[in-house]
Amino acid sequence: MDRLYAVLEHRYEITAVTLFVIGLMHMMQQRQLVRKVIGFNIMDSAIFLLLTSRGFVVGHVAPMVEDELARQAVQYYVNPIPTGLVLTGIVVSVSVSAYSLALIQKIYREYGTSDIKELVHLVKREG
Amino acid sequence: MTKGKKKTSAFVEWVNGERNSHLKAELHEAHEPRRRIEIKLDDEKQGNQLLSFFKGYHFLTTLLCLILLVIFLWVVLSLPNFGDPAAPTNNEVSREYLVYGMEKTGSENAVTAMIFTYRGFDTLGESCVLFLAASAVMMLLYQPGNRGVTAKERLELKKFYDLEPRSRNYLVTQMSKVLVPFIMLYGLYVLIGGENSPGGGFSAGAILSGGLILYRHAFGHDATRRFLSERVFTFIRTLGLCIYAGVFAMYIVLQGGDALTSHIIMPIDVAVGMVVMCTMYGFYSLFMKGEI
Amino acid sequence: MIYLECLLLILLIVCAIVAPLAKRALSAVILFSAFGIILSIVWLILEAPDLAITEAAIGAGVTGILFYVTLKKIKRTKDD
Repeated sequence: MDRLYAVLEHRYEITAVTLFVIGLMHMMQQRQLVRKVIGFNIMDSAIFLLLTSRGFVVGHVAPMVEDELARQAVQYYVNPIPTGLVLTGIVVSVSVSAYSLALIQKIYREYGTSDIKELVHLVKREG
Repeated sequence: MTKGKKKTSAFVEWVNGERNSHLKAELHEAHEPRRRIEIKLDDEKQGNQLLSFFKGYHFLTTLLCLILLVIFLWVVLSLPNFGDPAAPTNNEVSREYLVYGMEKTGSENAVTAMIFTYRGFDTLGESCVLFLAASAVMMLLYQPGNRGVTAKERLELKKFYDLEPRSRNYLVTQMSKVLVPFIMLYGLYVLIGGENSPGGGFSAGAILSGGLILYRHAFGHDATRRFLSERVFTFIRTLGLCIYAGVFAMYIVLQGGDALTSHIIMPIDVAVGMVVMCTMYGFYSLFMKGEI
Repeated sequence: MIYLECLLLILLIVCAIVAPLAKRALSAVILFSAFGIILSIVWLILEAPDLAITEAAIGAGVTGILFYVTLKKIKRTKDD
């Protein structure tokens, strides 16, 4: 019972690490490059989820600070730092995946396939 | 490449950009059939080696992931409880931002205040990353116009680079006539209200680019090019970066100060919005047609 | 409230497992967009509305479109 309580207490963190491992597994085991990029995006989201859940405080609200509450703001608002970091991270993650997709398009144009097994074989045969 | 030079791998050549150096080479490739191969038929011994390697690979990666999962779970369960106000993450830094952020920066939204003033350098680097990402994708996929090629070659190029549909979908066109103005209005609201409500440059840029993409999809490239040609695109995203760098440099040279801090959020907000919007729209446009 | 949270988190994991395993590549992309939408709701629950707005526009919208265009280019929308 105690163990179950601990799992429920840490539900966001557990989801985050599970998502991270799932994304890593997809990235290593999928054969098509596009699916690898999807796995990479899942890993990204997992890290964001872990960061954001660390900044949450039970019963507190989003940090839109009102004037009369500013002096005791710590008792009312959640931690703004993880949110700010993740906000910039999301936008960078989309540019990383756009760059990888552009590379995949170039690879397809050159080799006519986006399957990693065939690509390894083609590269080996060419020298 | 001279004959006497050592023959390098084709893959290395392609990475170095020697293979696709000019258009003719690409056209030649486009005429070739797709070079798909059957692994088993090709070179049986090597192929079998490859297959067995991949079988062991699956097992090993699964094992590695399970070990990682166990380690992660063990670490995570020993963290402080979720939502604990006394957790070490809620330390004096966030306290400072929450208590004094409002009076020092004049922005009710603590997140916007934090990323545009206290951590302004971080966000400047972020904008540079976006700018460089758009430039890198442009390097890979840019295929401007149809200058200097014959009609037959143009058709061949279009097969790969041009995904614009030939006719417009009536439903999409009519729907976007209603939706696009509201999406753009909401984007502008998020951009301008980012100081006092949820939002800010990053969110607003994403929404605006979403509206632009919908417009482009419904009305075609020619309609978008009327107000967002390549020149305007380059101008907007460079201007955004310049405004940000200029404002921040001025802030540093004038030694900051509370009076100044409350004025730099709005210009930086708009600048970041411009950069993000152009980057996202540029990705879509380059992916669809190979030009802005 | 905790039931809703658990449901959303389980849905997240299910989407993450199923998305790259889907037989058609197009379904994979659509499932990935669903993942983005669920994540944006989770961020509303975690009191981060800035993130929710950004994720709804980027994670579900722009990324999905970029994936779709790439699939169309490498001719993987029809077959698996």
